[in-house]
Amino acid sequence: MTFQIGKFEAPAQEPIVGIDLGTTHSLVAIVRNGQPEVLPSREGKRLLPSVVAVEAEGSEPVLGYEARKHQIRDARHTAFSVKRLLGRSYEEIQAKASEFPYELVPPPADDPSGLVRIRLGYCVFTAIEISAMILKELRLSAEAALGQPVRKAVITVPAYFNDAQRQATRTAGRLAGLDVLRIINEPTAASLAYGLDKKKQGTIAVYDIGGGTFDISILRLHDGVFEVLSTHGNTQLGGDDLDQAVAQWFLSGICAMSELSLEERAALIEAAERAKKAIGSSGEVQTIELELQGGRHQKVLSLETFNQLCRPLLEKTRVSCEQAMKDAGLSREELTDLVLVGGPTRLPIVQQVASEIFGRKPNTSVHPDEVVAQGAAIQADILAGNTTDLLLLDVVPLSLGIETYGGLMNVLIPRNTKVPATAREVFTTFADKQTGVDIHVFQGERDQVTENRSLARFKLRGIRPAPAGIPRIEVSFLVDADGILQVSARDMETSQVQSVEVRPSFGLSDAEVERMLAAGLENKDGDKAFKRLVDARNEAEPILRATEKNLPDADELVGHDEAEVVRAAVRELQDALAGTDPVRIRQARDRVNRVTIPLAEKVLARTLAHASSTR
Amino acid sequence: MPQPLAAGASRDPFEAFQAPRRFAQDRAALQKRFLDLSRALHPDRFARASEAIRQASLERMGLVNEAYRLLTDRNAVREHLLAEAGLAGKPVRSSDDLELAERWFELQEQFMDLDDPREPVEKFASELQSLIVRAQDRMHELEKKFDAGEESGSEAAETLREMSAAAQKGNTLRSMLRDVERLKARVGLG
Repeated sequence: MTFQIGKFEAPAQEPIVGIDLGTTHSLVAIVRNGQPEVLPSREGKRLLPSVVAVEAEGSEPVLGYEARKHQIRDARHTAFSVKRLLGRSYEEIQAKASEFPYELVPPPADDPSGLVRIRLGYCVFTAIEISAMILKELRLSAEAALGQPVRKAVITVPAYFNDAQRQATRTAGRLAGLDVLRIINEPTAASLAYGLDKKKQGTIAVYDIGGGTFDISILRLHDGVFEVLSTHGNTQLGGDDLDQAVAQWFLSGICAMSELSLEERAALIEAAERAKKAIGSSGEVQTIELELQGGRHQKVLSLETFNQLCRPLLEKTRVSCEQAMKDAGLSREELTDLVLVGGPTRLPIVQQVASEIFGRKPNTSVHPDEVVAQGAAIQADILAGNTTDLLLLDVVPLSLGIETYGGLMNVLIPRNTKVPATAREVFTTFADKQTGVDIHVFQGERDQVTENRSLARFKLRGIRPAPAGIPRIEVSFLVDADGILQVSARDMETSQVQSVEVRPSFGLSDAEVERMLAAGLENKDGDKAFKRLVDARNEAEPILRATEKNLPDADELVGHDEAEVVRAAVRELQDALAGTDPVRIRQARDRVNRVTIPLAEKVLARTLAHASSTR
Repeated sequence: MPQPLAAGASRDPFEAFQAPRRFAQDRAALQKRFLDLSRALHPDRFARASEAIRQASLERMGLVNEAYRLLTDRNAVREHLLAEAGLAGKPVRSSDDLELAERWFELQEQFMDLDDPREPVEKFASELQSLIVRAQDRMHELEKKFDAGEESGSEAAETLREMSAAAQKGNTLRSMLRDVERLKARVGLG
């Protein structure tokens, strides 16, 4: 088959914007006359603070600088830095909850997504919904600036964002009325804007520290092709942490952060951020004065103290940089440029640490706040077919694999594999007439899957009934150019496409997104309880039946002690199934799955032995 | 410039890259071919095309990336050629591997009773290191022999078989050396 790209020119040119959805502020940009341009917000500013205030149920959200004013006056109704919560579960974030001057709440018991919620007054939102409000505001800003509807966008994410965080960003875009044509990595976007006019060859390191995330990407530029060699990072390290360090320093000897009211916390963090910015630009001592716990407190922050507070945090970036250089197979001397991106890189201490790590002076020619949005706009222009001499080749930031016997990670796509990335694996059944196979996909670098992040469960359904081990199902894993996983399967004998059911471990299913779209941006998740329970039961019952079938032989196959463990897990699952708590059912099912591994192996071995003796 | 999606369509990595079926590869030529294929096939070039074409570009580019990764990794090339020759699967361990493993077990057992465990452990580690170097040299020899291509099909298969055994040996030695290093670190010798 031969396709000609030239035949697909769209008749009218619809604008595609580039969006930097940042932790502290967001921007929208577009390429006009071959140059990326930042479009002003509806407040008439270049930056939109990523702050949302919702005063009462059903009231229009207030965003940007206006919402920032609420941040101190009305902390309870104001959310900021929600990017740090995107695609994250309540459990993951719980330890850091006291750092947020707004209330974090667990998901409802019937919500298997596990996503953390944000309470603003009487309203409860996911970080996806708050992000959608920000994206919608940017869309409206772009429409006002361009005088035409905007429906298509490229949105940037930290390179080290995992699949769930990328999915969450894409979902937020959809909720904001945007067709997200591409998710691209922030440091890669920055390199595009940096290398645009230079058309140079070379190997560059992009050191990108934003409000809440840190990325390092190593790229090679060849004649307009930007090839990412490696990337590394930390999605929980950024300028916010420097503010926190200053705030904690101020609080020492006064009280603990968790003792402060939300309003006091907000005021303290704001004062810390102000002091950080002032000391970064002037280098002069800053006096912080605050009323806390009924008393007036004053402390003087010297440049030396500030640098001492920042250094241990910034030193955390060193290990990421070294790993990225190692993965790229490069020594420091082989780099031609070190590019700094992100607001915190204005701080001399950040520039100093970065230059120490790479042993060279950084290039600070790019606009640290705007370069990512500019790059996103250039990528949008590439996708529009206007820019044809540039191309980005990016990589997967984290290894992707499946769970195998013993809870070990079987890596299918190693980190820093170029995207789109493909891998294939053949699966079979371990029981006679088994028609479904569960595949559990993880992301991360550890050997034990429990130490990695569960990405999704895929269920192969409708397998031809056959003796155990006979069906051969080839599963294809494909990480697309957005860094998001797609899975497909086919029966190797019949070449029939096999259906695959996807259950994201953290995040919303397509159906849930559709429902949210239909309901506007309201948060309605009360009606899903029943469906969840049914799903959980449907998943657990076949496993219970299969296990019960083999229980009579368990003592003989795995010994009495092991068999007791299996029986206890089976009883727990029976009890859970009698109840109505889907979480408990899932946990009990997982436990049965776990403890029956030795039994399953023995049953499999016996089946094989039997099959070969009768053949 | 419009480019046909059929470029580099072969599922065979060597064919897709018009590369000789051998271990030694011209890195610069591979890179040039990779960049050309990327410019022609990357999904970014087809963002406004129909769904079917976008999916085709995605899968095709995925295969190109996979082939490029394979061709720049000698171990992956070896496994590919072995599978192609129907020689995939693990070879049996040779007797000297077993002998080495036995000595390692003994060393671990005696370890705690020795007054100065440093010397025997260091000696064992350096022995392993020199065996690893020798296994690597052997592998390079075999790769050269295969690349010379002057053998008949059955001899080439024999070379591949030897490679498979050498690779297995290298893996065993390296994992044993890792265990030795771990032991050293645990008792503060490292």
